[in-house]
Amino acid sequence: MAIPRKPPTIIVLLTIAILIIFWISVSDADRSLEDPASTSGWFLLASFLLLCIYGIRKRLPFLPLGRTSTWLMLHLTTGWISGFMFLVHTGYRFPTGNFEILLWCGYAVLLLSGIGGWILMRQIPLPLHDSQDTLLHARIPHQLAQIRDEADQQMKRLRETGSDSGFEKVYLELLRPFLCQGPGLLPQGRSGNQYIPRLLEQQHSIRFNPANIDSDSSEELILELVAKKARLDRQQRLHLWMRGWLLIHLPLTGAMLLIILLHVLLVISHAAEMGA
Amino acid sequence: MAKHLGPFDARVTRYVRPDQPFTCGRTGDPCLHGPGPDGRCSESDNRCIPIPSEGRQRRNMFLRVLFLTIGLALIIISGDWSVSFDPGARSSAHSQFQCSRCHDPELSNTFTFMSRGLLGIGDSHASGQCLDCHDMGEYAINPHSVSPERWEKDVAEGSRTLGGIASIPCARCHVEHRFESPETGLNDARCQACHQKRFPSFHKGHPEFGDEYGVPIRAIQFDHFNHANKHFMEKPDLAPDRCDHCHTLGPDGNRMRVKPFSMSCAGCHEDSIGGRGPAGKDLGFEVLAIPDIDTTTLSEAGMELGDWPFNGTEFPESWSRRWIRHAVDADPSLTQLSGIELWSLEGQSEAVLNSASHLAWAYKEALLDAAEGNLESLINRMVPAAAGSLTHDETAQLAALLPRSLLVEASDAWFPHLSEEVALHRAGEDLPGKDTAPVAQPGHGDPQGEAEDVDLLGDDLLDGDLLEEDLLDGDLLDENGVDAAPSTEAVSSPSSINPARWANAGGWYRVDSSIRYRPVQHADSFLRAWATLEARTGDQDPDSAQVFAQIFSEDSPGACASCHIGLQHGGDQVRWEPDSHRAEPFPHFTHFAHGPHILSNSDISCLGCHEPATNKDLPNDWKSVTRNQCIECHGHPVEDRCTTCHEYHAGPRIDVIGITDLDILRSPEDR
Repeated sequence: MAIPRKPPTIIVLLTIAILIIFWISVSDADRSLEDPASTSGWFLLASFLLLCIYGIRKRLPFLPLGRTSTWLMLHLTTGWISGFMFLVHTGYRFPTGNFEILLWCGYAVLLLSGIGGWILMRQIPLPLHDSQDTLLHARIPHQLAQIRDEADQQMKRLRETGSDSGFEKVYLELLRPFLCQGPGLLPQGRSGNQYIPRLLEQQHSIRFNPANIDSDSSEELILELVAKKARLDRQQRLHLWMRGWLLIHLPLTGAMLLIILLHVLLVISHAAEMGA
Repeated sequence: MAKHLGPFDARVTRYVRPDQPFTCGRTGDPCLHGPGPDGRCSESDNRCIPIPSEGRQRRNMFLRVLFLTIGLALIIISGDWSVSFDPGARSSAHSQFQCSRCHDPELSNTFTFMSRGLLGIGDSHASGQCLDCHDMGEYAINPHSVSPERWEKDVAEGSRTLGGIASIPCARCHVEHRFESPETGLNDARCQACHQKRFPSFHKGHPEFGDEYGVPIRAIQFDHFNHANKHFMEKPDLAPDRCDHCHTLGPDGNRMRVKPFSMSCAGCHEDSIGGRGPAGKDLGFEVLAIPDIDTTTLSEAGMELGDWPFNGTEFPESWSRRWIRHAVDADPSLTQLSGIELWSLEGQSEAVLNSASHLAWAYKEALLDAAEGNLESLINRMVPAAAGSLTHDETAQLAALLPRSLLVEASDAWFPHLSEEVALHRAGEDLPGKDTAPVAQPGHGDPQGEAEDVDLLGDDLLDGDLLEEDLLDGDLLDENGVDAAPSTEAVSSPSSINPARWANAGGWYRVDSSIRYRPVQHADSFLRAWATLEARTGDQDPDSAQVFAQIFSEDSPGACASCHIGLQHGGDQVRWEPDSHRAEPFPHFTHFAHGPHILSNSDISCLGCHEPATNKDLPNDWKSVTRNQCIECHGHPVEDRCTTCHEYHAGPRIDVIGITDLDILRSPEDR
């Protein structure tokens, strides 16, 4: 889902209002000889619960609770506000107790994964659609299997025609393993060379001279299939990144919810006794 | 078999639906029905190994991270409590403290910490543990550590509002565990939580200073202008040329102090206090005295008193009155002697004569008791009842080394047969008839004094004028206070020596029927001790005001009242030192550090803040310090936070020291 570039006015106003209320409340707590960390903590908890609501909202798409894009923008702005509240709450410092360190690190990773997801969701959709053979993510495995089968067929046909000039060896040792391997996580080729892995390209050039290949020949078709597989690999990698950050963000949210509730209970009971 | 949202056939749908927990492992040619919910291939020959769908993978990942985090949390929590919940470093002063010093010892157990926290029981640490060592006074956790009465007074005056704060725990401001270092969180905003007369800065909106700021209530009276224009003009060699001749920066580097008497005043005033100057013109303080009583009339009435001195002394007051007061209090009939001239009882009723006789015997018994008892019992009879038990030091200062020989000599002079007479009186026997003519007092204890002695030390010679003009003026006393007059009488005959002149260096002596004390030097311990005692405890004592007034009258020996104005009879304050106004009373909300101002490289001088007062009606010879004088620097180039000049804790601070038990000096088996 593409993220709207400009947040709605209501979201902007709401964000400003929340920030003002938060700052006034914390300042007032400090001025009133109360613990400002307690006040900022309650705000932080509220923002965390608000962030969690977005996940629930996604599971209830049938309810008329506003547009999903609005909810996403609310989730994003609340996330930024929550990061600021987190810094204020922790006094801009790293804690000392192991439990607090776990809490701090967990929340920091959660925030960073959210920010990373936000960046990925902004950056990936555009290059994902810059190719003419863009596919739905779920169709890619089947398409890759078809490419592999077709390449095998072409190789079989080449062998039957007896015009093998050493290409079969290249196919079996280099091209077919590439057609069978996964996409990986990091980019392996350049757009100018149709994202074919650089290593494969070099080895292929050494052991087989593409200049000797006739057009419309089986060798040419196999090479086109390899290039298509490389482009699909790129698509798969982008899909992996675009979906993969949620594998950190969502489970961590659930874990943090439990730890934060434990933290709140301990703070309420132990800090409430601090007095005369 | 799970129900699919659509036919599980890539040839129809062309992609794998991720809503099922597993998908077919054969990506090139998937099965028609796909794997079951248990992850097994639906084909009989198990053509492939089904793989988890994307949704299933997410769910698995969620559970893994969840359990990993919870497990990590459990591992951390189950470790050392102080490591798991380490709230941060302690201050260096508290670095050796165990957690249980301030927190509930039971909380050192992780399980207890968690369970009590979840049950809402919590910790019990509070300000009490802080105050075990930091004794901030009775009202430590009150706002500003002041009493409720003071608080109510300030609120009533409008200088602050309560703001609903009845008490402020120490930890509200003093955060012990705040990561690297403890913090004291007092800032301008927190001040204005209660002080709601808000203003943006010191130079803009801060209330003007009071009329007394910079001109505190003095404990020492000193007229700068009179000295500069009169006294120092007469003695230019003693005239100071700078303020620091008499004033100096105190050891704390903040407060200005007056230099000691010996450095600042003694050059001119030492002699007058010790007795060589005008202040020594009197005969010293009459501490113990015997009144004149008409023994002739009493004898004619059959009331023999035995020996009795006659010097024309009226009923003694102050110390002597209190000395004999217990006898007066014990016999209510003595109250009828009030207003009676004891030296002339002729024509008085028998009851009055009886009372006079009782009083006379009371004097005799008191003197005998004093001579045969000890100094402590004598002093205890002379102090106010509210003084309570005195310490050895107090007794020593109040007695000022009064020698017993002086009491014995006085007793022998006044009552040559005192012990025999008192013994007979106590036995209820009549004194043998004898000549009851009063014993004349020559001043040196000679009961058979010659007529010329009587004349020499009688009223006519001891009146103030003669003493002033003849006995103590320059021609009789040399500069060291020793008799300079070449009187052969004074040298050859002890009876001719004036005891007051002899004691011109101070101390005890006897004149006529009184024992007197003459101040020795500045800060004379006898006068200081009595003045302090009477000021503090004498408000309920009927004779105390007289004692106090004697010490502090304008023409008293020692001339205390010339400078010391910081004591009031029956008042709460006893302020001897020039700077004692700073020590009491609490609280002080404002402080001023002289050091950084006068030691800086700036051109700030004393006159920058302290201007001479031109209006002589002002109680002080300096004008008060105004806010404008501070604004010249503060608020522009110099900081102007509230705490720059104001203290939060206005009460006393007495830190308790951790003291080792002396058991360590005992043998181990005796501990």
